[in-house]
This record gives sequence, structure tokens and C-alpha cells, in this order.
Amino acid sequence: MKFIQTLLILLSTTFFASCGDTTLTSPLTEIESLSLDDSNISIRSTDSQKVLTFTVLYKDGTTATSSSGVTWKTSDEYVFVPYIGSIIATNNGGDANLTISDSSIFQDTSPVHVKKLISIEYSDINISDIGVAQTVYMSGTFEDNETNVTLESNIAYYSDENSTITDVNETQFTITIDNETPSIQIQAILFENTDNSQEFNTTFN
Amino acid sequence: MKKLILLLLLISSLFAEAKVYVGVSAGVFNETFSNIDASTSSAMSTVKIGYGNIKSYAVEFSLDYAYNRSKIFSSSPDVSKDGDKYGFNINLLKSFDWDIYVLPFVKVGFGTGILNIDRILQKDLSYGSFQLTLGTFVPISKSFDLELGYELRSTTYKGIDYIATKTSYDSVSNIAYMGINYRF
Repeated sequence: MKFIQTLLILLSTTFFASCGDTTLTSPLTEIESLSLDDSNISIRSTDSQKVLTFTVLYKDGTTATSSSGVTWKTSDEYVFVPYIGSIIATNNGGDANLTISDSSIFQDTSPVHVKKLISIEYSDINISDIGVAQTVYMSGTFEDNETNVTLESNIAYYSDENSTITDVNETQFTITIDNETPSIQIQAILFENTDNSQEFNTTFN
Repeated sequence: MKKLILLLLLISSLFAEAKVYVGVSAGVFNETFSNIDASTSSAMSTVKIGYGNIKSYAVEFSLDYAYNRSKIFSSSPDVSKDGDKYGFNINLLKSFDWDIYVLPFVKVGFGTGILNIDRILQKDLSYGSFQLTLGTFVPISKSFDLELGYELRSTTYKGIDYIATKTSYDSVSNIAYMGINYRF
């Protein structure tokens, strides 16, 4: 009997405890808009990537910045392709649009311009120095006369049959002259093995 | 092999007088959220089917319906409250025969369910829960018994989509209920 009394007291207490406050106005905020942080995006054709973020504006006036949580889309995959929070160029020059969206309600679009590589500049080598590894430094010039630009990505370098290229990185490669020759041909292919490939050839005398 | 036989004997003895039973219950609850300043209290009802012995062990499968009076997750100005909540639970029950006419019990279990809401990006919110129940069966005939109980339920709601983030919300509910069971 004592147990029943205890239980009934517990149940009554719980019953009254259960009749507590009820929230009638949601304390949670709601999304107002979504926008890319860069409204005029540009990327060089040889950049490894362009990191992008977006900002969500909420109805209570607060904001949050992120690079994930939305779908990233390009209007032209032959100009650039998007990943989560970044884009990479797929052509030497061109314009397309980047759209981010979450469902069909919130979205934002920004134009993307891919800057065209005009030329590649190399440091000199001594082609009579046979069998000796020489370092060649390279940099790019782009369409807006931007010079001395580090060529981060998207280029493959090849030499002719009289020389060998090794240790290629963003700013330099090592070349070794194998045979006595009046000139050495260096072939630089931008976007190799794509429909948009473009060659930048140089001769060292 | 001997251990297996012993285990089977133990299980068969536990469920020697096991029966299928069904039950309905109604109660009130108060739910308080831990990471937002919000709470809700309202009524809920449950239907269940179980299998076991009223004096020892049982397993129960139940469906919850909770009427909602609060507006915690919905953002639409067109609605005055969140939608109703539907849940499915599995509980393991241990009751005690202390020769005191009633049969106290303890239940532990888990559940899952869905809460209808009205937000721009979400129309429902799923949740998972763990619950502990203390109560007693009060036999009123060979087939019928009353069930009185107090349940403490911990609930985690799936994240609300804020695009840049997804935030989960946790709550603790106190539930008092009374029900009736029919044992076949």
C-alpha cells in the first residue's frame, strides 16, 4: 500500500510538473538570403584553385560564413569547374557563371572570369654545358599584363630528344643537356589531354 | 553446448508464462530543451503490443502520438504551433512480484519518430530518444491490468538546416501516464 501511495504521489507530482510552460514563439532564427562573398570572381588559368565562401543572412540580422552546405554549379564546364568551396579553371581564358544553391529557394550567382595566360618566361640556360643539371625558373604573363606570376598548376613541361627535364615544380625545373646541339626545344602544354589544350613552346639557343 | 542449453532453459523459464498483450495509455508530458530556451507541455497517447510475463520480463513495441501546443522549430508566420509528433519505441521491461498486489516495473528503451514543422527548408524533423520508465501494473482481472508510469525521456532532434550549419537540439521530457493492458 505504501508503494502505491508513493507512486501516486510521484505521478501527481509528475503530472503537475508536466503541465509546465509552453513556448509559443520560436526561439530559432530563419534564413533570409544566401550570397557569394565574391561578387566578381576571377581566376588565372594556371592557378591551382580559387577558394570561395558564401554568407547566409538570417532574419535576426546575424550571419554565418561557410564553404559547404550548398550545391556549386558552373554554367560552362569548359571554362571552370566548381568543387565544394573552390573552383579550378579548365580553359585558358573565358567567362561563365558560378551558382550556389540550397534547394530552389536560396541561390546566388556570380560571374567568373578565367584570366588568359599570354606567355611563359624562362631563365637562361647554357646549352653547351652537357651533362650538367641546370635550374630553369619560369613565370607567366597574363592578359591583364600581370607579369612574374607563379604557374601553380595545369601545365606539363617536355623537352626534346637532346635534353631531359626533371624535378618540375611551380617555379622551376631542372634540365640536363644530353647531347651537343645548337638549340633545345621546351614544350609547355596547358590543360594537356583536354579539348582546351594550348602549347607554349620555347627554344633555347 | 552445455552453456547454450542452460541459456535456453533460462530463457524458456523466463518466458514460461509469457503472453502477448496489447495496451493503450494516455498521459501528459513536459519537454525542456537543453540548448535553447524552450519548453512544451501537452498530452500524448500510446498504443503498444508486448510479449512477456507480467511478473518478470517483457518486450514492448509502442507507437506514440503527442499533440503539440508549442512553436519551437517552425518559422512560418502562417502557423501558430509545430505539428504533432509521432514515434515508435522499443522497450525492455522488468517487473517485480513482491506480493503487494501491484507489480512495480522498470522499463528501458529507445525510439525514433518524426515531428512535423514548417520551416523554409524543412517540413519535418526526425528524432531519436532513450527512455527510462518507472511504474506499476495494477491487475484488475485475469486479462486486464492498469498501468501507471513515470517516464524520463532524452530526445535528440535531427539538425535544423541553417545552410552554413546544421544544429541539433536536445530535450528532456517528464511524462506521466496511465493506461490499460489486455493480456491474451
